[in-house]
Amino acid sequence: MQPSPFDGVVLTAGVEVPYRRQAGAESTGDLLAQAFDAALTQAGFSAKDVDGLGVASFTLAPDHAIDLAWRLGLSPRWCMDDCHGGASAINLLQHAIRAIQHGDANVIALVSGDRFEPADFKQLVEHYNLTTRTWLRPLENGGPNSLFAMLTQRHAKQYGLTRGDYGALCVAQRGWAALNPHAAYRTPLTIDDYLAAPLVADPLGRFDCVPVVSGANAMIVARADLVRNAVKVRVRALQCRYNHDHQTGDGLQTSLATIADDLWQQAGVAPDDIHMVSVYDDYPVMALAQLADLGFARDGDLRGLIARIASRELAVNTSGGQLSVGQAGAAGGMHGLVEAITQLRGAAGERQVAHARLAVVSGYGMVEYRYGMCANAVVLESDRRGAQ
Amino acid sequence: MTLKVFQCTQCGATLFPARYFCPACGGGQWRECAVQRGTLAESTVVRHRVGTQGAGDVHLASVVTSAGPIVIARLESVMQFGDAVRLNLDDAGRVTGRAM
Repeated sequence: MQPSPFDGVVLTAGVEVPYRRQAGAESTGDLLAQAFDAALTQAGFSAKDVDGLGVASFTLAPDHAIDLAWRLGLSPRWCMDDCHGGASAINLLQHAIRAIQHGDANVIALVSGDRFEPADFKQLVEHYNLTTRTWLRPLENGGPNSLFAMLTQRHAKQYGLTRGDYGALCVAQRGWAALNPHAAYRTPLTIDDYLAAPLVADPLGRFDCVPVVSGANAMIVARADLVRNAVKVRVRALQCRYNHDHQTGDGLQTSLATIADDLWQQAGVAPDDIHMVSVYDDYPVMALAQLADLGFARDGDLRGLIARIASRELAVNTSGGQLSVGQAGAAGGMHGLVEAITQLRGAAGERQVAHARLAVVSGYGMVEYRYGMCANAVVLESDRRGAQ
Repeated sequence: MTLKVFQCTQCGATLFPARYFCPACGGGQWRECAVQRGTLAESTVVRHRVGTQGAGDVHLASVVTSAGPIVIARLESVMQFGDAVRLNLDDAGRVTGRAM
């Protein structure tokens, strides 16, 4: 076998602190600590083994990663705050792999999560960055829904799609969510329910917008030879690209379109080889855009792609995705990665994809003015060959 | 007030909002260009906003300015694709649009 640029490092745990629609008594730090604890248990490590910590959270302030490290009793040799929203988990993973390969750390915990009261969420979307604060907040635009409403109009026009086509994706994901005991919304959704839901920002209705939840996720990335009994997931490829068009385009392509060729070449596999996909589904239009950018829409046929997702010929967002499980702030960037790890571990219960060995996960996010700036993707492989 | 967009003096790329360096050529010198009109590309009605109840609908649009950059503007009334839009920057710092 050719040496891989990701040799010597494995993902050995991926966990989720169940997302909750109503914020409980736990603080953001409490949720992150719970995720950290659960990830260590899954990986078979002790907190004393951890010498690296990466954190993504919008609501941990005034604390940072190093404050959380102190609360967790860690003396990290590598410590990193990440502020890439829906692209944060893969961004953190990119750095963590190199830190381990070069001896800066051996066992790294990556945690993400947020606790939101409605006022916290309003604060976040109104002050997301200076551009938002200066140019969007005064319009009373109500956060990103209005921007993605207009993006969806552009997309629908370009590809000849109707509300029902986007709805079919939401219905398909809800079907997966019914098999996930931790999804915020598990009740089956019909296309009629979807179309009848109140509009939020035309043409987006209630089911096009992720439910805001509180929760956390965590992963353990470790030097492969230190992992004894836990399942290992290897990275075959990882690519990031930010600001590919500097907000001067239409937002219908993410920067995944510019990195997909390198990603598949690095992975040595093609979209048809993949057993499950997690794409960042802040809105159905962006799930479709990322899938198309990654090469899953044969001949650019989005309706055919949606049909393959609905029939589960292509397993996409098998947790139910953020559209059904909810978006716990910065944890949203790790949710799909944790679901892929869960599937590759063969631990997805009723929603387990048979023989899942190869997965691709994408991150997308950080809306600057009109759409997201960041996108990245990772191809993962389980070492449980033939184990299912 | 008049809305301003920013043109790179080196390569002519015109952007909004302002940047420090030009993503096209790397130049760092800009000239301000006033824009007063544009063409409506998409519009939406924001019917529900987090943390508000019964606050009324907000009409927003993506407007392609005469100088090139696309801005997000608050509309005074419903407008359609292709409509000519008069752009302004009001006292509250809002980019606003109305029918010409």
